Amino acid sequence: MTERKVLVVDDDPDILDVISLILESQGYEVIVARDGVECLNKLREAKPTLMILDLLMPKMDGFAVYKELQSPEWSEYRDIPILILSSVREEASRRRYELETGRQLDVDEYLEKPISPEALLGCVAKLLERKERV
Amino acid sequence: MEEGQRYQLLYSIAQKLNSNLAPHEVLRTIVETTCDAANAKGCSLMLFTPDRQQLVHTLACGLSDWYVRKGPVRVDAALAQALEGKPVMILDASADLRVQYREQAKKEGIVSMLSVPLVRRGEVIGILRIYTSEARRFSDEEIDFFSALANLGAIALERAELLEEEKKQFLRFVSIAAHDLKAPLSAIQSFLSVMLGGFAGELNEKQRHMMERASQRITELLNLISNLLDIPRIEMGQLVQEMTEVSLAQIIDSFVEEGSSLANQKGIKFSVYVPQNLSTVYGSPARLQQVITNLVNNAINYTTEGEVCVRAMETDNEILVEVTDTGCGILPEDLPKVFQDFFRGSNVGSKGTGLGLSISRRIIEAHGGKIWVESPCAETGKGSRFCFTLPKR
Repeated sequence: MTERKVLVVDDDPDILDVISLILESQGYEVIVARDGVECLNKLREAKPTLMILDLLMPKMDGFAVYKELQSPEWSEYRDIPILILSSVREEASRRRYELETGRQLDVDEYLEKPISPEALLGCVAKLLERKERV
Repeated sequence: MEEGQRYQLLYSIAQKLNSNLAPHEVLRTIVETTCDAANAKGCSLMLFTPDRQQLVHTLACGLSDWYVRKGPVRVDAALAQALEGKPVMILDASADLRVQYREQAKKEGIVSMLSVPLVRRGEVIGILRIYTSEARRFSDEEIDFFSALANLGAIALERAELLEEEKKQFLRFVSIAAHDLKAPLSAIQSFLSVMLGGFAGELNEKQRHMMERASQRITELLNLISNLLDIPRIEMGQLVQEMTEVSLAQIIDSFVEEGSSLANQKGIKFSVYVPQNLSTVYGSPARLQQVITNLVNNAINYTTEGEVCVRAMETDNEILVEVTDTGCGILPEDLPKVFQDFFRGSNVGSKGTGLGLSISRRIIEAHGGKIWVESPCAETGKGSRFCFTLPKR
């Protein structure tokens, strides 16, 4: 079986616990980060198979992480699927990113909080399946 | 005009500046008062573009659209003097070489023009210009009076900017409040879902039941917070940023699946009639979706048997959408109140936040449309019929 290492980025420790619990119950390995800066460090260190990213965070937010990953410097990480998990409505986030950068927020999946375990697991499985096929 | 009358006018405008009137209303009053007091053809408030190279007609009266929209006005000789803070009088605009749009002025029927500077904190930010249709030489007293009016205009503009800044700050506050209120609830809700999903061990029947109820209450609270915070956002015009060309047909279509499934669960019929090639409107897709969702959900919620139906139709300049149901309807005494905040029908208990329809009303009004209800529906004699119109693109 291929590696199933998920990097979870959220500033709320409770949310990190919930996601870890759900993912670990299905045998995923979970790495956590509390802000965007830590996220980029862990991304380099751990090379996860998938990333779950919150948008509103201190220091460096999810928008900034996504923007940073578009630069050539991060090209070898670009095949890591990104699942956004945010309390902000998808439509509002997309508009904000477009207004601020003039580009599309082209993430693989978008889930709104609160977390539904079924929806989360479904999304993660779908993204990994898609990645393996590629 | 006599001195006494002039004081009277200045006083009444100064009073308006101090009132709760929106600064743009005050500016309009200043422009109209100036025009009247000068017994002139028209008057326009012209402001600098940010690069200070051109002026634009910001607010005008008595001038044709054609003239006002002829384009930005370069700083020419006639303006340069006004921009040094001195009034400029042009006796014959069609012949005076200092005037840039001589031909247009002639066509518009403008003969003389008086420009007085708008000064804010020592800096000229634009001019107030008076146009007459006959040759006119303004007296020093008149020029002083119009300069005083222009200064009041500058104050009104400053207030408008301050209000705009306050509005931005308030909206920033609202979005932080929204996030900080929702984050803990989201965490609680997520923990409950994890437990209900059996990820933290088996639950007995009682535990499951209570957690489901707790989860339900949190969902309601999250909805209430979203709704409450939607109101200032809509009222402060945040929708304008979201507006684009929208196909209402698509918006209605995308809700058909969810609507059908909800109606199915209650054993009622759900039908949608939207003509092919329905014209588009200019609006916020997410917010219009919110209105459709709200109206259809309400219709299904308050109907126990029969049918819920969504129809869209088109007139010369409007699109009309109606949602009819065969439900319990609305009591006659409740009808005038259904679009008010926190109103819940006295015959339907206290379901929901009581904000859905008041938010829908705000959304439709922000789009320049109308929303109304009749109950019972005139056509079927049952339930209710909610309608809204939107101007066509």
